[in-house]
Amino acid sequence: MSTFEKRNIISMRDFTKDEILHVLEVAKVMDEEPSKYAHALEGKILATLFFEPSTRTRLSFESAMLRLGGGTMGFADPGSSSSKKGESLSDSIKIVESYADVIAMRHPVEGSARLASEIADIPILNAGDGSNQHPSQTFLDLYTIQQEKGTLEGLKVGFMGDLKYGRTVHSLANALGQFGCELLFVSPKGLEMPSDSLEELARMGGKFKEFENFEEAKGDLDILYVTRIQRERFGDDLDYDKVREGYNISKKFLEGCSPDLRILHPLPRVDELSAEVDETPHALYFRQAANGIPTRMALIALVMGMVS
Amino acid sequence: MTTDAKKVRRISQIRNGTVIDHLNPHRVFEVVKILYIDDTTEETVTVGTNLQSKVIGKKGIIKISNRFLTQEEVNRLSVISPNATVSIIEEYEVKKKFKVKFPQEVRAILNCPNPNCVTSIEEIETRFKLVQESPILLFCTYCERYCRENEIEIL
Repeated sequence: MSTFEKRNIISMRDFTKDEILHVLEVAKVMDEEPSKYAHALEGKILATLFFEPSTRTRLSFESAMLRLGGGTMGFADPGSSSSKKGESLSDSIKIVESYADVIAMRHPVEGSARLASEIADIPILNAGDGSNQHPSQTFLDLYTIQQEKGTLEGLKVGFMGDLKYGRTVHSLANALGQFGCELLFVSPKGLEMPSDSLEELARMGGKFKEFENFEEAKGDLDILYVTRIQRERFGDDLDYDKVREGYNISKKFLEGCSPDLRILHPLPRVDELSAEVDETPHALYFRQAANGIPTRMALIALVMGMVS
Repeated sequence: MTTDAKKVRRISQIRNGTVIDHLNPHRVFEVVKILYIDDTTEETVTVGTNLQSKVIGKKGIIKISNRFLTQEEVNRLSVISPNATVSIIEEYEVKKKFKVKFPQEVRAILNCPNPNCVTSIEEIETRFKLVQESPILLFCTYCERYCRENEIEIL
């Protein structure tokens, strides 16, 4: 395993299974003993460059840095950055790297984080590059699953909703494929997992099946990862309403599922996940969101060389 | 004189240089482009396309006098014409024959088919990793999209 110090966190594809487990181990330490690291990054600065707004992800990165004793600066709105004036991304990164010690960056263009990492001498944390990668989300999803189930190996994991456009689904499925999980993809016609993602899973020997409705898939699932189906993906509202009915998770919908089934959702949810599910033991999504903090603390501390 | 040399002499009368044969006839001019042959080129260059071939039906051919392609240059051809054969000619004799080998990484030759890839927006070199040779499957290092043979486009 190569050291994490000065490393960039760009894509889940850059990490081996052992490296993923190492990040999760550090996240656990951050989770259990946060006070031990409360001054670890004193005097260090995280720049949050959000060329595309994402309040929750930005706040989560900033909170993680503050809890490590560091400071933060940045912008949340591309309208207030120089990119609006036509500055290239390369120039923006060259300037900011002299102001900060680590950068968390979200950008609407795919590959922008990789490019930034080639330009900057300080570590880049990809907080989402277009529809490509969002590795800190995947790490926190994995951390949540491991924390709940005690392992990532050999689980039966369902993915339900818009599997075509959901980047969190693609990289989580890919990572779980490495751990020998059995993956069940449930999606309406037209929003299935992209063939590229399935072929990649097949090349790595991943086990998966596709379904159109949850009934056939629910059996003895350990985890169900739900994503929102957006109205704009459908030609007319009637089609959308028809599909939505079959993908609306309520207490009744979950009848017949294993009592140990846990539900994850990258949030925000709209009506695909009924509020009545919140009070059931199945609901894991709020803990999942909270896990963003220790996971991002771990990533920052690792790339800054504060933990080995 | 060897049999190979006779064959080459039938298709090429160059004394010294490189003969690229069995090119995909639809992509001959793209090969010209990736070898940086243009109106500033000083060497004598002959380009033939839609020639009859017993092996592949129709083929393209390029003959370049006094220029000797390297293995690296030959590998770049493979991206768009994987069945091409390359002969280095010295004094009308075939001195060396290259088997086209697909490079593990393709730099600065191809466009990424993803219009939202950073390489389509910023001024940077494109980079693809080879995932599979037959059929060709490439992977963009930046946007992480897969690119198939029919999507391959020369810059």
